Amino acid sequence: MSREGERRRAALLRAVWGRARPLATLPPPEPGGPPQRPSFDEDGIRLPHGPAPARAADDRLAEASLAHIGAHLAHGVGRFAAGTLRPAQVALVSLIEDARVEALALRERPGLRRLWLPFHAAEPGILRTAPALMARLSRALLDPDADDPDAFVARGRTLFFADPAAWTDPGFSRRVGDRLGNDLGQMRVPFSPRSYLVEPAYRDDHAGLWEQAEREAASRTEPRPGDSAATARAAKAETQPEPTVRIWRYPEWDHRIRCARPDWASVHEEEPPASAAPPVPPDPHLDRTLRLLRRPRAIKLKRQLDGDDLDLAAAIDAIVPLRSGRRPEPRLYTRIQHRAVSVPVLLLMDASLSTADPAPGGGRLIDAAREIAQLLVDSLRRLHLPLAVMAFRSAGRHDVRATWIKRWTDSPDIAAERLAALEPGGSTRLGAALRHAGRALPPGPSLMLVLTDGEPSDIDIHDPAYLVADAREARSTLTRQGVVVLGLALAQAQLGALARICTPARCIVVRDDPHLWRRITHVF
Amino acid sequence: MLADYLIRHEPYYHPVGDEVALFAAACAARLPMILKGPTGCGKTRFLEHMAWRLRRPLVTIACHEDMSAPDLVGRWLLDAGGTVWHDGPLTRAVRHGALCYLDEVVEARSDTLVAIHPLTDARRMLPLERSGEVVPAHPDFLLVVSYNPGYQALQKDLKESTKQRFGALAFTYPEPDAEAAIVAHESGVDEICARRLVRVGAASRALVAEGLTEGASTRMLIHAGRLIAGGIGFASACALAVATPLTDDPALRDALAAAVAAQVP
Repeated sequence: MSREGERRRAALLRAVWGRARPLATLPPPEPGGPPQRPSFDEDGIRLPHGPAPARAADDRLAEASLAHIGAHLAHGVGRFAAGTLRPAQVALVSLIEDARVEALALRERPGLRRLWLPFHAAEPGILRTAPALMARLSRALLDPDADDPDAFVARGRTLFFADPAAWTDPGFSRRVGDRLGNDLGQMRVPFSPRSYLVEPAYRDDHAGLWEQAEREAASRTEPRPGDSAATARAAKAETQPEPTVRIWRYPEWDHRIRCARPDWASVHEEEPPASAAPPVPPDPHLDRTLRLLRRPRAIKLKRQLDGDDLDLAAAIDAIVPLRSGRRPEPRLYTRIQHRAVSVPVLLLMDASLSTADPAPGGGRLIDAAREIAQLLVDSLRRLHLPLAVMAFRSAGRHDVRATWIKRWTDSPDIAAERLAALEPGGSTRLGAALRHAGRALPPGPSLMLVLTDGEPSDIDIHDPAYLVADAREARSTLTRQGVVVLGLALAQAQLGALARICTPARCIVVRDDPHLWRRITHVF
Repeated sequence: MLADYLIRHEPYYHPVGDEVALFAAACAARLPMILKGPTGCGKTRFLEHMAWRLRRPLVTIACHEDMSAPDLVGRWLLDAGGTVWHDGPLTRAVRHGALCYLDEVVEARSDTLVAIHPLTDARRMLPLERSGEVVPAHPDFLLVVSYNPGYQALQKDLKESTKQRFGALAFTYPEPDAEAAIVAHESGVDEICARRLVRVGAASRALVAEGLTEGASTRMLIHAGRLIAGGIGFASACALAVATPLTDDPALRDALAAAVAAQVP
């Protein structure tokens, strides 16, 4: 089922019945097999196989099914014990139960009759088979205008409508169904439970009505509602996207010759894979703290047509024409305008192999990094602040790779799946990554968070000071452009190198710091 | 002075609890009040009713982001002779003893709202910074503010120092029976039709769990009812007054349409 279709059906159940149940689609039926019927039980609702159309008008059957199952959920009385009932009696008790919950539903939602009735196609005829009689009885119990001459149908109608007050009685369906089942037995009309199919098509297969059916349902290997989303995501993860070929070249600072080597490091962007993401519980204080990233700026507007205060200079100028009997210039006021300036935030994540190391608080460092990134994505989305997330790794100066977890324009939903698929690998050529991330920033003040497990390193560099010096150079270029770069160290041990790059005042160890976000906004 | 602001005829209000007595007591104790609740659940109507009951003028100020302190307290204007001071609506209410109602107060910036602080504690006075005057509050003056905690909680909130000066009454949509009575009275539809409208309202409020920002207000249901009383069909009236204004999401609109169709016999 398409995600949109699934959402539409869930919204429908919620609007008509105020209820939510997991929804799924049954697997495709075997060729030549019996048609499918919807089904429900404690696990959720399964609708017959087939696409969920995007338009409501094409989905009347599903709408009717959901309205019917919703009636069971609202007016149902729990599962019946089958006990010694014969199959015909089971079928008739179910039929009466269907009619009972629909009758109760119609009391408050009379319009549902218009939804259900077109599916009741059974016409009075000479064929006196059990399924035909049951379908005619179903119709007669829903349709007040149905005129069926059959004695069995008439008796069912009489029993059913004798006392509408009894419809809320939990034993009603059992009582009426038993009696009708006996009548059917005495009429010598054969009933074959194997070929019996619930009619009309919108009604459920009664798996949720009977106790014995529960065990059967549990043994079935049907997809559980909710699985479809996971399989769709898995399928998406399998398709390998084409790598992009664009290469950016950046200079690199060599601290020994005190000079930048032009076009030294090559960065290319990788398309990120995606996989199912575990939810990250929101941090209640995060929104409040991060809101500080949106700073109101006051601008005094002079010589306005209206405003809070007189513009003194304009007022004095106006006195001259006033005294000489001419019209003064009407722009006499000043006004302070507050503009909230949203500071864009770019999170640069280290995805090198060393992030696979265990984190001090359990798990891997990359898991901690993912969690921080996810919290940031969720929170800034709620605050409508712009955010981009980029991960990077490298394998020598010719192969620095940047992966957009979230571009500025990407939906925050994509970020979760891409973050989950992010796996450690490669080295940390931080300087090139900083320069590449810096070019994605819009002009003006912005905040770049560098989340790393420590010291820059790469396979073609043997001088540990070289990449640190280069990263510091890249950072100070960004600072001159108005970008605040904050170093977030994933572990205490690696703070040293990061402090040299970002200055100690702008470095924070993120593990086990309950005030992390407050400190980030304070430093900023 | 504020005769224009007196409410002459009783505004209809259907009490849902002891809010009338509570508000009258708060008013007698000169305790400023917050009215909280979702949009269109009757906050403003309640206050109009109370202003009528207490025979006090009601000065309403709709708050917005660009509102500044002079918009509330007043400003200097220029005329032929020079500058003249012009009282703002809050200052008028303070001088002459009215209920001053700041509607959707969180829409105003917090630096504007600090102007009300001296009015809402034991001082009960309004210093006019620009003119140098201090206006003591009339004994009948009472400040009442309202806001909708639902959709504004994340973005906006009152400052703690503002919040703690007030007493508060929380409003919500009335129970179905009461809401049906209100819809029937206000719109002129019969009881049965009003109950159907209330069920449509309940359906829309349930859809909040599926992503709707806010369910239909009682006011919306009354609008639909008025259309029906004017001869429009139930489904069309609900589409015009409820479903279409509420959402642009096709899934939610279809779901609402199904809930409306279920109410059409």
